[in-house]
Amino acid sequence: MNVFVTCKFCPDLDRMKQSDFVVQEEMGVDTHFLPNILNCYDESSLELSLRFGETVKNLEKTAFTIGPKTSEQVLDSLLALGFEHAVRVATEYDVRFRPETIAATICNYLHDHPQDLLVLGREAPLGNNAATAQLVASYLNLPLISAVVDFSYRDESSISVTFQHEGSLYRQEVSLPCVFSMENATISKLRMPTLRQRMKAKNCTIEYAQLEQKDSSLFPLPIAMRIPNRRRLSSISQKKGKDAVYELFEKDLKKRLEEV
Amino acid sequence: MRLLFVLQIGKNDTVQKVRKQQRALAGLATEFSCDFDTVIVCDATCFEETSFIGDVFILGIKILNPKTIAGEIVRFLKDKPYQGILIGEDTFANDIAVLLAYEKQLQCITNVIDLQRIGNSFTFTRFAYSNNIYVDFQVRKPFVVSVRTLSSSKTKVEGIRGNYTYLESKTNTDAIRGQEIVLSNDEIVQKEVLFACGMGIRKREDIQKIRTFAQTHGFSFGVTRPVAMRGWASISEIIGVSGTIFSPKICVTIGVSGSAAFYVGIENSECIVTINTDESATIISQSDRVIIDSYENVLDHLLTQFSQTTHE
Amino acid sequence: MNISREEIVEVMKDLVGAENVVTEQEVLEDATFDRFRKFEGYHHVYTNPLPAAVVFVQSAEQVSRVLSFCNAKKINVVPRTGHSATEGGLEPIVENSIILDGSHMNKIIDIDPVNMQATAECGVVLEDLENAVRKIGLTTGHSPQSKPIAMMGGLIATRSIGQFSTMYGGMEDMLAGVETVFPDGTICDIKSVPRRSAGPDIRHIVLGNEGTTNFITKATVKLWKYYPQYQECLGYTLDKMEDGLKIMRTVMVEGYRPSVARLYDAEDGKEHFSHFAPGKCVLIFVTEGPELVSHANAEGIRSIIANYPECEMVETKLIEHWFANLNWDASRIEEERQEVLQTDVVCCTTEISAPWSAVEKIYQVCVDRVTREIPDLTIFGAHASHCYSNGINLYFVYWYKVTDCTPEQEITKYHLPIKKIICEETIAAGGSMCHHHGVGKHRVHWIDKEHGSALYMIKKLKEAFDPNGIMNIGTILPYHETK
Repeated sequence: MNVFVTCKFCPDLDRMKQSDFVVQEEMGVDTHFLPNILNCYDESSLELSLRFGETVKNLEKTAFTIGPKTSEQVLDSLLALGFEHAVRVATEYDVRFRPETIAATICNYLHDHPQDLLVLGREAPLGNNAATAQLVASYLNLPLISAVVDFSYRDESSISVTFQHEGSLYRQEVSLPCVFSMENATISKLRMPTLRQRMKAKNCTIEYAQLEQKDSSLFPLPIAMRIPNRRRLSSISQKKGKDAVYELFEKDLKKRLEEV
Repeated sequence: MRLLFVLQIGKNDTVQKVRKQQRALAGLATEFSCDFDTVIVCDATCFEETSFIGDVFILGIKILNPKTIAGEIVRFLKDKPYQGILIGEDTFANDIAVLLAYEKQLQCITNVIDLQRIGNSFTFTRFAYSNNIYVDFQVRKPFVVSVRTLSSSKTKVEGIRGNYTYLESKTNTDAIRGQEIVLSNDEIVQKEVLFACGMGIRKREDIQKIRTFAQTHGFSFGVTRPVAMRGWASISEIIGVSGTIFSPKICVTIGVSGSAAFYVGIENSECIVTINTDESATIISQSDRVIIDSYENVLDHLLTQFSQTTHE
Repeated sequence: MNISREEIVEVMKDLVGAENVVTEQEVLEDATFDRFRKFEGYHHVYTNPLPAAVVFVQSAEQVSRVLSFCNAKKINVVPRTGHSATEGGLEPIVENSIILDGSHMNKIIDIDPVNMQATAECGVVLEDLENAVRKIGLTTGHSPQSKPIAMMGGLIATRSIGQFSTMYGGMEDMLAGVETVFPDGTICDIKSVPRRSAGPDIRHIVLGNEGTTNFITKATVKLWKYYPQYQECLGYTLDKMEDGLKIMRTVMVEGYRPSVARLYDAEDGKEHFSHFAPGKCVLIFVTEGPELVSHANAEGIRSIIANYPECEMVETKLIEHWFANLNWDASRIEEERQEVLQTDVVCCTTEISAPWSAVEKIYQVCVDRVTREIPDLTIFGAHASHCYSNGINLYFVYWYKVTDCTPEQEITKYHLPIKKIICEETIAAGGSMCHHHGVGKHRVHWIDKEHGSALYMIKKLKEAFDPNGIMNIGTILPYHETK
């Protein structure tokens, strides 16, 4: 059995202050000064795949990323953790709002390396397209399970998958091959390789794949970017006690509570 | 121009919630001078025909799967002249939108938070950069979008109760061999109003008073970490990074200074009301409405007003 | 101690008010550990006995009454404020201890811009004090990573030091005056004066006592004018740690005084700089102060580095941004808790100081020995962050995956053996085994080697001020249970 996991190494936007978000002319935000982290959904996917591999004999694991050279640090770690293949698509092409290109690139690789299970994160933090897993499932005509939070081995041709829907958790038995779109899983942290594992993997090499550009006919590119105004009203009442409360309700809370 | 709304009633969704979704979308359609129909995806055996507007098509499903649902909608769409499909907020909304976009070759935007129409041109807005940036897209007809949150449309739409048609589900779900519910979210319901107590509350009995009030009125209750650490609340009642993150309609903070660790737990509130004696407290600039006064002068009146307003 | 747990609680309620005495199980469990035993704590394993109560005090007089009582009844007292200690200093290691918590004494009493000092109670969070003085263009100059959560009492008790120490010094340079309470209930107020020669400097009985001889209730610290507009950030990548150490020594010996001087090896740097310096050491200087001073220091440092062509300059914004996000707050601690629980990987530290002639050897020996002798390490690295004319510190940072052992075995399998290597090699090379975190309870094993003949003075201080041995038993000096 084999499993294919996509991952994105991306700027840690939580480290940016609101004032750092400045839209530049090229419809982007300067994030080059930020440290990079794994996309949270991908982190779950990778860790769950490793745990999956601990229960499945001879599971062949492939990690796949489209990104800059700094992504290779993650791929080196994944090789040290036991991923059999770590693949990078080296490109400077802006794929932020191009889910079709991302999906086509993945499918292009899979054409020569078919997989039983494809695990993709729900969305990546820059583009937030939330479309890649769905497009991959469509292009390859594979079943899609969405909002996945966990999965486990059932037998050679099927997997037990847990997903959430509107806050409830469901379990389904799904035939392979299949595409999973990973949600916020309880398992959210990828393990770290030990120094010994890193030494052992020193001779493992990263593989490279090609970008497959696809027109964004279905997914138009942005025409504008804006910064939301998130400042709170901070309206201080001039009144005290009972009068202040009355004013609060008349001006604001009564209307909100009607909507509740 | 005719639009199609696709709404889903999940296991623990109320019909009222989905009706509210339809009304918001209907208001939008009216602003855009569009007609509309609605497909409601649900367990057809549990559906109640109540107060939906216009023509409603009920798609009953047993197996929860976005591809299955999308397949059914593709069958439904055959020869139907919708220029836009709007998928209401749901776990599978984005999936269904993208799958429909592929099947029907429609332009697609996911997670839309705002829609504008100028003539024949539509501009859709969603977030990017982890909800830190608004991004606008111009979309041509026909299109499909998943709508994330739509604040109540300004246009009020009153329903003429329409026709209900039940669709037969035919899409093959052989790939999915079985389904069971593992955990129902009945208990995990966050309330629309949250009361948050901080160290500015001087008496343990007052914390208890607010807690009891919240519980009896169906509101959420929580405290800052120092309040729990002084033994006046349990650790499970902590709000913030080491506790629970809330996103209520209204959050009332009483005696809270507004540490970053706490604020993370309430920052998604629609409206934050603060009662505090200290005008320079951090929480003041992070709130919408502020009363600078001792909580003892305010509390009883506040609770009375909440009580009266919610019982009206 | 001939008094029951319940009796202790009742007396505490009489002394400080019932609302200030906490006996809730969860709070008591939380009080049995600090960041040293975080792995156990995150797994809800509590190795130390539960204290009888956490007692919140509101005044020096209350502290005096509580300590007098505990002194008479021989009840162990663990002083606490911010709960951010890292070396076990807050662990109650004997039955029925009291955690004496000063975090509710959180008033900033005075900010004096004429005499350039501020007075705050022991429970004031350092970041709150810093924000308050910045409103009038001043700074405390103190910025440890724990700034958002650490409080004044604990910062003084541990002789803490911050990121800007190369210019502003450590807590020992900042403390002008202090009020403290001794076990017999005596309240002592050391007045703040610029300098005096009126006997030994008794502030040093308070500074670094780690709650073993007194409970700090109030402090006056010096202030400086804050010139953020003249800060200059200099960052460089280089291949070898030893080159970085040479550069730092030259900077100090030549007389330049940056506020920040930091050197990261490639392993420790991975956590911080992989987006621009993967596999490289990173050298950082920040200068500040009045414009001419800041600029002169920056230019002087640049001229020194110009002699090292292997140093490649790093864009200022990268350093500035990294620096702005260095501090720990409650959300980072919560993130750490999640990571530890899911991955069983723990990050710990041991910080030492050494003369210039010994630091390179200490670094190499520790890296060699720890990576060879300790299993399951994922990262072992170090950075130097506090420079002096006569030496430097090293902050060893190590991560290990806890494998095949219970939470309570973690410190004996990993943490203490690592610390043993570092402490013993450092002391053998002429350095100090603790630079700024304090001895706590887990470096007591080497306190005799650390002080040598001067241990006599430490012991005498303890005998003099805490003859009944009630203050934070097992801290600084090992605890020997008397039969």
